[in-house]
Formats: sequence, C-alpha cells, structure tokens
Amino acid sequence: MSTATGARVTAQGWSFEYPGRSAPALSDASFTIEPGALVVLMGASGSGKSTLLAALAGTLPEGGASGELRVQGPDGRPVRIGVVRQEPEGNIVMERLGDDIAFPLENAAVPADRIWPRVWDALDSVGLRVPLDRVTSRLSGGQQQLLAVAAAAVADPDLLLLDEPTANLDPAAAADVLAAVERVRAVRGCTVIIVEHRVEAWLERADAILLADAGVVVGLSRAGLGAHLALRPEAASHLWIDHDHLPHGAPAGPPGSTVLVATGLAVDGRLSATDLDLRAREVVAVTGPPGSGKSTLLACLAGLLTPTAGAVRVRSSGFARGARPGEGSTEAERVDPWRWSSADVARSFGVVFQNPEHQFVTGRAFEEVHHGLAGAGVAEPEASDRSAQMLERLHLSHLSSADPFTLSGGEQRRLSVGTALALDPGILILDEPTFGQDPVTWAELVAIIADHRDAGGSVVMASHDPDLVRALAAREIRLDRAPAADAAELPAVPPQATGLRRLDPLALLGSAMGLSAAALVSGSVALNLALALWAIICALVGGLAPRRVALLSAPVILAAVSVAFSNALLSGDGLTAASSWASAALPASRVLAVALPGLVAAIAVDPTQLADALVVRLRVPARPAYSVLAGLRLLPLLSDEWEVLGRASRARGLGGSGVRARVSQFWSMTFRLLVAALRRGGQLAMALDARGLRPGAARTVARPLRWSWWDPVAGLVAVVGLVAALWSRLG
Amino acid sequence: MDSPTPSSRGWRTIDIVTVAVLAVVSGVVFWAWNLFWTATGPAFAAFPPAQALLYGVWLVPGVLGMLIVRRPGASLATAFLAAAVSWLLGAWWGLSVLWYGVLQGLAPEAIFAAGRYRTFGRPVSIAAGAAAGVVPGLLDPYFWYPEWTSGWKLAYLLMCVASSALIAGLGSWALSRRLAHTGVLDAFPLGRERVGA
Repeated sequence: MSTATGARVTAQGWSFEYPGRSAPALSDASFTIEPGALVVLMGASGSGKSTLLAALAGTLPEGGASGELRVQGPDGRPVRIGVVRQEPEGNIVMERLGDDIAFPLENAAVPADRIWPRVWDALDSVGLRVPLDRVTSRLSGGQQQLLAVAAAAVADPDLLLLDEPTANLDPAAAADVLAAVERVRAVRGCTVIIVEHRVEAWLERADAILLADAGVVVGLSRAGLGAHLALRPEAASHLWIDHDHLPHGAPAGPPGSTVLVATGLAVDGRLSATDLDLRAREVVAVTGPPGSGKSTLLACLAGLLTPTAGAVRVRSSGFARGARPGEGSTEAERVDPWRWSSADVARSFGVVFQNPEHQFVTGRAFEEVHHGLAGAGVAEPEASDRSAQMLERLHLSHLSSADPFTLSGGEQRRLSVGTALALDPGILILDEPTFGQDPVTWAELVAIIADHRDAGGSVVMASHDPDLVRALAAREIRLDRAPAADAAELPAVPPQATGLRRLDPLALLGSAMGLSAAALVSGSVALNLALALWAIICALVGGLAPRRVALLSAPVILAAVSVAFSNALLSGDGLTAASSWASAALPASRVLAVALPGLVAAIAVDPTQLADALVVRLRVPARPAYSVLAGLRLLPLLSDEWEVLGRASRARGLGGSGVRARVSQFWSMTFRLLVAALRRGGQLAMALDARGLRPGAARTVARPLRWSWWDPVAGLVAVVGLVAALWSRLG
Repeated sequence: MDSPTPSSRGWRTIDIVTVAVLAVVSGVVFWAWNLFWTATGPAFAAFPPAQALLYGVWLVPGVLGMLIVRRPGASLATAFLAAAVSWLLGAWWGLSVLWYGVLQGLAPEAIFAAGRYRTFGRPVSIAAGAAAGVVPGLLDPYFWYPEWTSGWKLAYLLMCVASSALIAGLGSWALSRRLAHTGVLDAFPLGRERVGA
C-alpha cells in the first residue's frame, strides 16, 4: 500500500536555546533512530522533551540551535511528518469527519478521485467506524484522537510524532489510540516518536527509549532504562513507570456523619436519575464512560446547574469552618444549592474545574486566593495572611505575583485547588483533577486532597484515573448511561442535495445579498413586504426547518416594531400624529426586507461548501479561506465554553442581581473566553500548518461543486429585485 | 525568529486564524450581550437613541484585531469576519451587517494606515475607535431612523463616536494589554514586548 519505510532521525551534538533565556533547553543531544522504529521519548516537565519534539515537527523558533539534527526520508525525497497533539479538539480543522482526513491530501494536491479511497483506508486502519459526514466536534475525546491519528497517517508520513496523545483520555480510549498507532505503523512502516507521561503500555512495544533528563537526551534500550534510572532516582520520580512510588493514603479514620444527599438528580439528555450521598472524611469518585454525565452531576451538586429533576440536601456541618457566623453550629439543613446566591455557593463548596483557566478571575496568583476570602467578608490582615499561607502550602509562594494564566499546567492545577480550599469549604468538588499531570504534580494533588479529607472534609471527584481512586481509597459511584457517541446517534451535517441547499453557495449568497441591497435602496413599502415574503416562501418551499426560521425571524419582527416606534417618537410630529406612523412604515418594512433574505441564506448555507466555492470559483487564496473556515468551527465549542465560564463564575462567587455585579461578571467571562479562544487559535494554526496548508501551493478540492439550473434563476430574482427597487426610488 | 517585526507584512497562518477566532468570540459575546440586555435594559426600548451609548461594544473587533495582529488589513478582516459570524448566527440585520462590517473595518484601518502601521498606542487606538463610530452614527439614521429630527440624528452620531472612542478604542487598547499579560499573545509583537520587559 505504501512506499514509505520510515524516516531515519539522527542528532549529533544538537543543542537548543530559546531566545532570551540563559540556559539551553536541551544540550548536546546525540542519538540515532532507525527507520520504522517506535521510540518513547520520556522525561519530566521542563526536561527538554517538548523542545526536541517541536524541533522535529519544525515549530521551533529559528536561531538558537547548534549541532546537527537530521530527519531523512527513505529515498532522499522531502520527508513527510504527521503530528498528533494532546488536546483532541486542537487536532481537528474541518467540520465533517471525512473532510478532516481529506484535508492533508487536498493540500498535497492529490487528485480528487484518489482522495476518498485513501480516506477510507486511513479510517479503517485506526478502527474508527463512523460515517464520513458526522460532525467532528460531537465525537468523544477518544474518537477525536483516533481521527487525528487517521488524518496524520493518511498522507503516508515517514515520521509520526505523538505529543501526549492519550493524556486527556480514559484508559479504554487510550488503549484504542495505542492500538491505532500500532496498526498504522504496521501498515505504513513509518517511524514513530511518542511523548507520554503514562508510558507503561508504550514501553512494552518500544524499540528504543530517549530519556530527556535535565536538558540532556540519552538514547537507551529498554533494559538500559532500568539501569539508568537506578542511578538517577530523581529522574525516575518524574516518570510514570513504577506504581510503588505512588502514595497510597488510607483515610485517617472512618467516615463521619452525612453531609450531602442527592436524590434522583437528572438533566435532560445529559444525566439520568442519580442518587449520591457523601459523608465527612470521605472521598467519592464518580466514574463512567465519556458522555455519562459526570461533569453535569458535579455541576448540579455544586449548585452551578439547575437539574430538570431531583433534590440535594446539604447538612450544615458540611459548611465546616467556611460557614457564615452562627450557621455552622446549628443543625440546619439547606436544600437545592442551585437556588442559592453565588456567594453562598462559593462559601459552601470548593469547586475545581477540568480546565483551571476557566476559573481564574484575577491577574495575580496571590489575588486569585485572596479574591474568595475578601468576597466572603474575611477582614484584613487575616485574608492576606491566609492567602499567603495557602500559596506556601501549595509551593507557589515564589509565583505569588505571577499571572495565573502564565503558570505551567501543574501549577495552574494546584492554584485552582488553592482557590477552592481558601475558604475552608466542607465539600471539595473536583472535575478530572489529574488530567495531563505528571507523576510529581499528581502526587502533590493526592496529598492535598487527602489532607482535606483527613481534616474532616468531604470530596466528590469525577475521574477515570484508577490510580487516583485507589490512592485516595475513594468510594466509587459509577454512571453507566450509554454514551451518545454511538455512530448512528451522532449528528450529521444536513444533506445538501435538497431544496435551497441544492443551490451553489455563491448563487445563494449572491442572490440574498442582491435582495438585501434592493431593500436598502427601495422606496416602496409594498416592495419591501414582497421581498420579505419571498424570503419566507423560499425558506419554507426550500426545505428549511420552519421552527428554526420562525425562531430566528422573531427578533427581526421585534426590531421592525422598535424601528417604527422610534421613528414615530422622534419625528417632528410625535407619537400622536397619524402621519408619524405612516412615514415610519418605510424604515420598518426595510428592516424586514433587509434581514430576512440574509437570514434564510444563513440557515441554508454550508460553510465548508462556501469556502470551496470561494476558492475554486472566485480564486480566493486557499490558506485564508480554510484558516477562517477552521476558525468558524470553534463557534459551537466557544458557545459551550461560555456556559462553563458562567458556571465557573458562580463557583467563584461572581455575579448577582445588580447591574454592576452582572457587568463585572460579563466582563470577566468575556476576558476568559478570549484567552481560551486565543489558545485554541494557536493550536489550530499549528494543526493547519502540520497538515500542509501552505500559501501559494497547488492544491485540490475533494468535494465536487456543480452548477444547477436553479443558480441562474436565483441570480435573476436578485436582478429583478434590484431593478424594482431602483424604479420605486426614481418613480 | 520566524516572525514579524511590525515592518514585515506577510500574514502567518496564526495571524489569519487569530483574526478569525476574534471574530468568532465576538459572535458569541454579542449573542450573550443581547441576552444580557434584553433582561436588563428595557429602558432602551423606550428611548432608542440611548442604545448609541453602548454601540462601541460592536466596534471592538476592528480595533482589537489590529492591536493584536498588527498587519495591514487586520482591522478590515476582523470587522468583516465578525459581521459574517453574526450573519451566520442569524443577526437581526441579516446581510446588511456585512456592508456595515466592511465600513466599520475600513474606518479604523484608515487611522492605523495613516500611522503607517507603526504606532499602536493609546491615542491611535482611541482615534481608530472614534473613526469606527462615525460609520453607524451616519448610516443608522439614514437607513433606519429617517424620520428623526436632525437634532436627534446629530445627538446619535455624537453618542456613537464617543462610545466607540471609549469602548472600542480605549477598551480594546486596555484589553490587548491585559491579554498580553497572560502570555496568550506570545506569538505576536505585543506578547514579545511583555517577555522583553
């Protein structure tokens, strides 16, 4: 099937220094990787392994390198490199699964008719059985990583680079990714270099090991690794190979009284009825497959999401030391935390989100901890003292004035736990706390959580990390709702062969723009109403969902009413004169006629097809067109992220009913959304570059574009509308 | 370094993607903003020109995009794409947002071009914001409020310009500094100024 037999990688005294840093990130690396080998690259965070991987992927800044680092293809041709990164969403560029795998082939100018068989092959070799038209953002994280492997493999790479591909996955999904990489290597014979914290399974298959240890890279055999680590125990403690290193903390005593009882909690489509009870000095682990509702359950328990059914009772002893004065000692019980004020929620629960960046609300690590204390009314200097103590306890004192967003993943995680613990909440709620952590930060987290438990606190955490469940002697509650990730249930992009969607996207858009322009020019109320009506008829006859059309049209009608009112109010004659209202009819009808054609086109158009048409028919350069298209794919993701940010704000005690509180919450959420979006943008740009999207290069388009006889009709309608509008203005 | 002193003019992939991402964020934020004000601001329905005081929010993309990316065309591209995203989301004004988007991008673009794409400080940002505000300040009364007395039309224009200078101009400037502080802009000149400092 393939001619590639893998790249040879050789390093000879290779060093790299980031501009502006004093010490080299990596010095004097010398090793050889044979064609077709599977190599595990190991090392602690900051040991230089990411630098080496970036150098191989070609994403290091220029300059700063010395010595030699060579990647040679099998027969002297330019080497092809495939890359899969940690963040599943960050590997995806297209809306549909098939298009995502076809993309690298298009960029390599493979003729369209030869693209699809290769797409099928690639899908087959990773074992992903999902139809090509499914929406990539709805795949589970595991499916997304399989997709990423397929998209990296489809262009027959000589070298496949995998940067912690399974760090964000549960063990079952991680095993699937490993099997997929093995199959790809067997079929295509490419050289594979993988960086991963949990390396045991990979080590069994590795031909060689590269160990990055304090800026030095050592090439080792599997047997050599054990000998090397025996001499360097410090390096060993950063590697996830020896489970005896992991702490096993049995609780200091038996669980105490019950602090929280949830009965029949359910959220439509996300969580089926679940019971849960929690005692003092206890850790409960919520486990289950992706999509079973673990995060949703936690959000309900913490009062961040209103369930569709069920109740939660929180005993006052659960408030522990964070309780409001006078409340901690009574035996009172409070119900349904989603009805509480955000300040009460922040006092009662310490919540740690999957992504720590979602819950940072200030510009300094110290402020992060202080914010909650001050918000809860803790006076100075106590608030400052307690903040400093907390940072001390988390080994973050040296970073107290650093921006939380600039911290490393492990530091961010510890800080977010610190903000959650600052108010001494009785109940700590953690969502996947060990996602992507290396063994050292992992062990630190375990110690902090165990401390909280042994001091009389309670913990609920969602986790698919069996080591964590064991280390904390957690009681497991398993959610077993069948995940919606079943291929048949995944949403497909609407088939475009019917009704309005049969139009060429340029004809559709051109016609709608023409009609909108006509409405801006028109001087006739009747013509405006006719244009609006035409748009609605097209939508209904053209097979668009009437409900969607109605839903989106409602605000337009409201806007028309508002414009009529405003014109009548502020015209010289005022609201009472009939003439005011008569002359207000024209701008009001204009609102309808301008908005509705565009709205119908927005519902009907398929962005991928529009980008194809712009590139093929209008010769728009491919790189901006597809980069923008890939950016648009973030729209639903960022909408979901906005919802999570809202929950995180509530958990941090932001918000309230006053306008000022809401404006400040809105600002804070907007800022965090921007940070998240810019991070995703960076990943996306790397993914686009890695898939070979280059300016000016010849490329093909895998999806056929066809004119139909409806297209000139659409154009004609727009011309007629424009002529009528001009005539109404002049006549 | 693979990249760009302010004088190098080619767009990298990350520049294009960032402009698109800023447009998408504004789409999401505007949508949330609408929900927010339908809950809080019925006052504006009674006295429509008051909306002009908040108009600057809609003009942030054109200024912010340039402050971050610093490439010729960045204002126009960000404002146009932000408009395209609101169109795709089903904006009230349909495709006319695209015309508005182009003009609201060209206005700040002209200000930055006048500074030969070398100055991106506070005064230029405020001027760019104010310039963007002129566009709706003139177009809205012409297309949508033709029956207003000219006094109201003038008041509307002034409020648009003031709001844009403050929110889109000064606001974008402050936002870009704050973003650079987090390290997410390290791939851009603004982020590297932070590292250098």
